[in-house]
Amino acid sequence: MSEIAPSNLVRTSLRRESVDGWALLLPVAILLGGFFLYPVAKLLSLSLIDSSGHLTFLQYSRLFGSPVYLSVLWTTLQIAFWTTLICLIAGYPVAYAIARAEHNSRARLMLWVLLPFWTSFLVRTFAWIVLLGRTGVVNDWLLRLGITGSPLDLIYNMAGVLVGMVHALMPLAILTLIPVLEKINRDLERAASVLGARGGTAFWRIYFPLSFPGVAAAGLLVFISALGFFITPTLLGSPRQTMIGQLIIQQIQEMMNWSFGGAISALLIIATVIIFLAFDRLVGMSTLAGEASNVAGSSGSGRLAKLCLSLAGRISDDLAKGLAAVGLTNAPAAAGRTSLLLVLLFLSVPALFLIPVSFSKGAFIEWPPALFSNQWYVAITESSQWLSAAARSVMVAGLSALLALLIGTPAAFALTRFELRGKSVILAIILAPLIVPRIVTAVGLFYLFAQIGLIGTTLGLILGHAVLSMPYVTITVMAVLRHHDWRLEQAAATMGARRITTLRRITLPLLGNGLIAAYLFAFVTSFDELTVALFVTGGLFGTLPKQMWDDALLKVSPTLAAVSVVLLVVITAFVLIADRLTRARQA
Amino acid sequence: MVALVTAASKPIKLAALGVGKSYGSAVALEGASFDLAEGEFLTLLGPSGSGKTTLLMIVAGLVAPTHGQIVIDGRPATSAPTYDRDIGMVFQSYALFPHLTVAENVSFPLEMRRLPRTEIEERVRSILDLVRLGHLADRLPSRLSGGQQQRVALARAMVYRPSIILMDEPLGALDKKLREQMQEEIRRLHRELGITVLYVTHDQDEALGLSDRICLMNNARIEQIGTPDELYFRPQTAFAANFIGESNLLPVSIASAAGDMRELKTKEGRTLRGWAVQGSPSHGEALLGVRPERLKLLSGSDVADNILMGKVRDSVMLGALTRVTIDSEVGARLVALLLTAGGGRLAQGETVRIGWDNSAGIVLPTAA
Repeated sequence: MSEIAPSNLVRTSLRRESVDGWALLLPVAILLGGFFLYPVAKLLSLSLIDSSGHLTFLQYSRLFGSPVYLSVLWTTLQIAFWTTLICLIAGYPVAYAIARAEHNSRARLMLWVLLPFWTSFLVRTFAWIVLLGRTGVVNDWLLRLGITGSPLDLIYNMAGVLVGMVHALMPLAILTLIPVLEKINRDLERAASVLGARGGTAFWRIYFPLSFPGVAAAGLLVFISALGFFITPTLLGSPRQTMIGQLIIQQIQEMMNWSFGGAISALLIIATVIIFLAFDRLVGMSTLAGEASNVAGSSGSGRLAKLCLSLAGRISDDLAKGLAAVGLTNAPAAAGRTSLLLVLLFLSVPALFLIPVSFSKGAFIEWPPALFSNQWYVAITESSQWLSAAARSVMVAGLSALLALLIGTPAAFALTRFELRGKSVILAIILAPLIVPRIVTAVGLFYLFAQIGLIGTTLGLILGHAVLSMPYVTITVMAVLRHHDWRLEQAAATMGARRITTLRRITLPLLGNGLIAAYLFAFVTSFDELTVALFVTGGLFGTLPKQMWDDALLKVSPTLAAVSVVLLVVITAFVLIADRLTRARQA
Repeated sequence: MVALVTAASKPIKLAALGVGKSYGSAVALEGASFDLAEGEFLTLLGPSGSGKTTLLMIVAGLVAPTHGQIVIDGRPATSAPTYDRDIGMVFQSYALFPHLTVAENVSFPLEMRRLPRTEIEERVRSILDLVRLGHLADRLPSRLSGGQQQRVALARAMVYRPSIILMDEPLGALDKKLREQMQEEIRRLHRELGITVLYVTHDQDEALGLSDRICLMNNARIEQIGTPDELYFRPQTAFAANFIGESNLLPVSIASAAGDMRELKTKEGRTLRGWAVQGSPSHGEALLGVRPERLKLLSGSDVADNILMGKVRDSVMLGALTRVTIDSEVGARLVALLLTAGGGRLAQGETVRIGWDNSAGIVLPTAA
């Protein structure tokens, strides 16, 4: 067939294609190189260079020498560990139910998970303040029901922090698990059943091992995200729950100690890298991209694992048999459904409690609130501070998402449509802003912008948010491109369309849905973003999250509840409309 | 009560009694009844939507019937969970556990039955030798070819000697050459081990080649159950006549009936004759079914029991056979399969005389 084409013609076209591929990566290279790699590297280097320009390990010896800092590190690891464990255990049943649900119920269940995921993180944290406070909802109900005699300390301690963090990160765990669980062939469970395995054994020996790469990936992402958290421990914890992120903020914002801040940041990054390496050893990096794990179970640890799984299967089967013997045959299924319901309620209901609080007549957050007054809503609409913050948030989100889209889409094309050397390295660099703790990125940008005068400017914020959103855009577009039928473009070519025309009239319209999804993702990421905004905005010109944060540090008042409810309504409408649109397209 | 032995005095391994399944108002399977004797190979054959897979799933216990009963090895099994039924199953997707080796896959059902380790190893080894995969015992399924995976699936279904083995279109994912090899393999295992098989396929050649009996299904019902010969030479409906092999179907009305013979008249007044089978009408409208290979092209003074005139519409050489389409004088289009070596090429529009024996014609009811 190809005897017709002279070989050097083929070679030339391949080389030209390769150059195009690299050209598509140029915007990403500029954005990441200038506004991510350089600032972060600079920040880390500050920790190693003293004021006279010499290499020094002073900062690190200070870090490891002091028990205070070491205990903060230990606390951070503990909190991250418990958060990850709870997220995985409570999130697995939800992901399981969604992966196996029929089309309609699946969409409904996903909505229950996506709504909290997209709802402002600050809003959700405020909700927990309302729920867990000494005069909050939970204590109120416990006292009324007579279960406790005096209010419990549910907030400003480890419990409060864990609740807040689990609430924040469980949707991430669930959304990471679902694609892996979906890929598991349903026939495998049927086959196990035919071969004589009861429910428990079939789950522990067949289903769970196959889902393990997803569990590990979800655990990885949750743990790494948890390491860098500072909002939750600040608002819901006591000084005993201080995490590394808060330490970095303290060093940079209060003490202007760049070197020490850089050292702590470096520590955070090293911890992240170590965990990634452990993950790679345990499961394999390629599983993050959806491939099956290559680590077979024939080694010694594999046999031990097999033994544990058989035991787990045996125990759960015996339990089910025991329950059936006393007439409770449906107990396991009922328990599963109940826990699913409880987790979904846990995820979606807390934010709703802000609604009555926002109509409170009193000046404090209390439960039950003294109704009914819309003074707080009036105050927001009359406050130029809130309105300008909202306007700025919308503008920054809109523009940074656009920038992320314009930069991330060509990069996605380059990675999926061209043969380039070192693709996995390129992908790793593009995903780096997701992996490097956001606070480190924020501090690095702060340093860079301080030098070039972009602090307090909208442009600086747009650039910073574009860096954070761009990985999401790239991943989303890559996923869309992978499912795209490229033969449509080939058909267009045979009909005489040139490449630009084909792009304009065939490719982009078909990818439209995916591009819109990527844009919305980037928009919400920016709209709800606090960490970078904390450092890059200045003075009176803040974004909505920054404004909420500043208010929260002073005093959590019903104003915040009112703002939260507005955000809640807007985002819910957003998500429902987007959901309706995507389903209409698929119908 | 269910009869536990057939006339040939082999025990009945599986009996389905009036089994049906509806999803709301949609009927996936109407009351289906059949039985399967020990060592028998019964195929559920039909187009998609005929209910054959639903019936198989109900036998397996993976789908609960809306009504009817399943009896496995003399014991009622309608409400028994799948893992308690003594069945083996081969899926179209093979359903090999990807994280277990070939040997681990095959030993899995034996582990479920808590057999001692030594016996497990011995049985696994012998079954893998039987399917000639002993040298691949420690491979993961992803490293096997399609045919090899299929054989592992077979081994895994047979190693614990279940009462019956169900096969759900197991060869659907294989290419033609491999499919024929695997059919050979399944036939051999059936002969050597005397396994009892309930097989599902839409491929009539496969069904004809493998089965002791075929259960032909259409539109959620069983149309006809019989041996391959019975279904091919004595189909009871127009659907059966055309699903297995091909049939010319001529609309006729029954003029008279004498024993098993029927005298038939076409609209144009031609007289034809055919045999009645079970279910054939004895008066009124009917269809006369004649297989293409039974039609002969008559030259000059040749005679035949039934003769029609026609014009050649098309003549396609398919190798050993030539397929000739003829517009007959009774309006119906006839298809004849002739040996290529026998006649010369036929020209389009050529006038021909077609004839066939009385024994080649079957009187069928008109489509409901």
